[in-house]
Amino acid sequence: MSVVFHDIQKIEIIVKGEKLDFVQNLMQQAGAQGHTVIRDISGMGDHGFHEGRLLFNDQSSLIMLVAVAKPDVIEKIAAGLVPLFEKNSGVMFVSDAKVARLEKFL
Amino acid sequence: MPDKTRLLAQIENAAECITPFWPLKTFIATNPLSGFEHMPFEDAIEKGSALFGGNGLPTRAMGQKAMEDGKIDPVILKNILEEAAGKDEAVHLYNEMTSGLIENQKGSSTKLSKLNALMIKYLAAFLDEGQSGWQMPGREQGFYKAWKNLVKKDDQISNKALLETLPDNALDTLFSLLENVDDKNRENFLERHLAALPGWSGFVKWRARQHDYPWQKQYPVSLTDYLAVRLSMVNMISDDGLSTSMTKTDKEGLYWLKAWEETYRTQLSDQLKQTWNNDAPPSRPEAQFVFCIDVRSEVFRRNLEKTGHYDTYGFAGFFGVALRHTEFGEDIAADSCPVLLSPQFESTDQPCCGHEDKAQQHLYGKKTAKGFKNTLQKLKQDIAAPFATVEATGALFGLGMAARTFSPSSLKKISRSFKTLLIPNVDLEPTTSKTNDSALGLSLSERIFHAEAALKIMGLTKNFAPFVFLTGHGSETENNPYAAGLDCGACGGNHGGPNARLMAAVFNDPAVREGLIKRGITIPEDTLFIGALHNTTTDEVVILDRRDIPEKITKDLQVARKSANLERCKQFSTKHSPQTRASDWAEVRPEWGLARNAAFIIGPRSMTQSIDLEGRTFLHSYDHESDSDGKALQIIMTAPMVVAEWINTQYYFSSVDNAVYGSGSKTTHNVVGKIGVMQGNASDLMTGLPLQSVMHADGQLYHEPLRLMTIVKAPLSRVSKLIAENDILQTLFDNGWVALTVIDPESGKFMRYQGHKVWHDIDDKQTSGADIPIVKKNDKELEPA
Repeated sequence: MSVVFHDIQKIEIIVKGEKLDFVQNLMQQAGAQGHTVIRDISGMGDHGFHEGRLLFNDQSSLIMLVAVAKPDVIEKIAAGLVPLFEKNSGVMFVSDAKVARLEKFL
Repeated sequence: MPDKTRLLAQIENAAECITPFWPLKTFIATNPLSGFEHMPFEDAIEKGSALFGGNGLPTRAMGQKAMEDGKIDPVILKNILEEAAGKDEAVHLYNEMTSGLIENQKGSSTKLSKLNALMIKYLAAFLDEGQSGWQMPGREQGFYKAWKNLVKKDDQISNKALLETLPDNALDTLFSLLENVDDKNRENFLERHLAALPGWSGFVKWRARQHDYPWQKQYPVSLTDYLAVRLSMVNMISDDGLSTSMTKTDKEGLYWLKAWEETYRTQLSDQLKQTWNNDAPPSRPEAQFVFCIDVRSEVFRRNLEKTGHYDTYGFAGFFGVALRHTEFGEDIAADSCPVLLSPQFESTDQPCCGHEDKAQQHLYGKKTAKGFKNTLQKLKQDIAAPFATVEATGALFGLGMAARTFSPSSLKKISRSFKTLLIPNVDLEPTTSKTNDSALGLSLSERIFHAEAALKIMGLTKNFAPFVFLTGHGSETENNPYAAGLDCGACGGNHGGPNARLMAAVFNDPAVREGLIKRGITIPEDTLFIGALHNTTTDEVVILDRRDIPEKITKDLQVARKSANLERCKQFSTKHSPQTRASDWAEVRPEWGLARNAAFIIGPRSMTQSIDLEGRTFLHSYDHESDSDGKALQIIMTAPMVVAEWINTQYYFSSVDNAVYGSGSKTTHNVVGKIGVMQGNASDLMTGLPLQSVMHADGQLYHEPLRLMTIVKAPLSRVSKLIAENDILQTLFDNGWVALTVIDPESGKFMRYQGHKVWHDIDDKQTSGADIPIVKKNDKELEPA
């Protein structure tokens, strides 16, 4: 039996740990049904290489949030991130994705 | 709706100008200008002046007094002026600065506007955490709705027509109220309204993020609520409550500051040049003591080391385990870890084997005492009962007050004995509850991980003594709303005892020791780890784990206590003993806390042991040889050093402008809602340190307002790489919030960081000369390795 996939959009957001609360609230206000948090991200950016794991400091290490939702919800989230990134470091990626159980994300 | 999510981000951005304010019971030192740390120090103080009306630099009077006391070297000041203004102008400037005072050169105070008075009224009522006898109705609906319901009956507001048009949702309300404010000006507009009462808005900012905080769960508040209420009232009373007062900042304060800093830093560097390469004796010490990095530990460590062959170490006082600890018989847990971290383990105390019956008595006694206290509280707050209560018990309380005033130490002894009778002491041991697969509740791999991390970070990986004391710390003070400010900063304003005991138990676990051997750390079988607590007010060290300890160690701790007491007593103008200070309910200054802190030294104790650092330095043990990948140094610089910077900047700003950045005199403080203090009957929440914590008397500084200087003994390439990889370090060092000197062990050079990857050897100039940020020809730029 083949799996039926449904179109949906995905947003991936990388911010400092101290902005976790804001982004979670933003996603909730925009209507996203859930999200995944990946902690202690490392990588290269505008400001050089960012170290991932800071043992005694959750606030300064980078985190990544991933959510899938309908395009209008993703747009609301993105609208809230644009001003944030004017003052704070961070990036977001929006892409098309597919999910098997669409009702979980609406 | 995308516009509303945009507004959420604009609120978030605007709120960066205010520093979160923790409630008094977990008083956390913070930089009042933390929102501007991404700017150079000089720009940040300008911004602080424009928004808060504060003066961020030493005044001429402070500078002249420091020079008179020998804390500013005139030669250094002259050199700084010459570098900045040229030789001729420098003479003129120097003469002007050192003769005559500037009138009224201090932060201006402004009268409370009607809008701010109204905001304070509603915020104090809503945010109350059990102090008031009569609660604000409807708080469970959140701040905005509770206000909306109550303001209808407010006689201070005559025009209530707007109320009918306001939506029920705070975000919708704010959105509609901002319709006339251009999008590009919104953040500035909101920033000014948040900055009008930075203490209150700072507290809301803190609380809104505490989703597990019982008061927030029950009575939610957010900055959106705060702004919706404020801007609604702006429209209703036609007052925007924004002050235009601004303290002028000028270059003179900066010259004083740099000269003051340079005088201290030159002296310290000169001392370290003699001692940086000293080695610790190779023989096995009688005992090792691990203390918190707190500046107060240095005084005790120095005095203890004189009494015998003891090695002392400095490590963040939470000993690497982020706990949420509930004391035996208590309902409320406290986060015993730095606020940079979320607690990872929940811990509590349980009675030791054989103490179960006594534990029951203890719980019963505690319950009785609580019941008595609650009844008394109710009687005091009842409408009629206080009259009868005073009639019946007034004389008794009067006697108590007299005893507390005239003989506080004796009363404390009596009340302690009485308390022990009612609530018998019981031997307790810590336990955590995250997992249940071991006696301690932490899984074996977690225990080994925490043990290895702690030992490697502080460089204690060999030559273990028979006894290793993990010594947390806490203060002892009476009737002091700022008590938590004197406790352990690394434990979120709590006593570090639970963390010390838990980690001692981890280190004593045979399975952990076996795991450590596989990681190259062998703890001898005869080594015992013991939890202890250093009382920073009285310098008493209490052994928390009941173990057989050699009498010599107990005696030496007493000797060290006496000499540390003597040393600290010299810093007070009165002759009260530390014990009296700790028990006197009228004592405004039980101890000096972290006043005069000025440096953070990362390296082995042997490099500082022979120097009297006067309790001014945070000391973090570090052995660069056992940290080849730099991970331990990264942890030290991105966490303990950051907390030290918060403490340092709080003392700094509370000293240079106590009215704006500090919290004014304790004599006119009023505790509000159990969360903070106000000056008089209504003011902003006072977020900084009281005048008595930083000054001998009004205008006479005790704390010396100097920015922190970090000194690291480690290879220059390693430190340089760490700065390149951690933007928090770039923020602090490149913007001048913290100065950095690296003692490179290979070359023996003292390298001063000039910011933006530029280093310079401090011996490449006149020894008495100033080191203001000017790049010399022979500076070398280091690329990250």
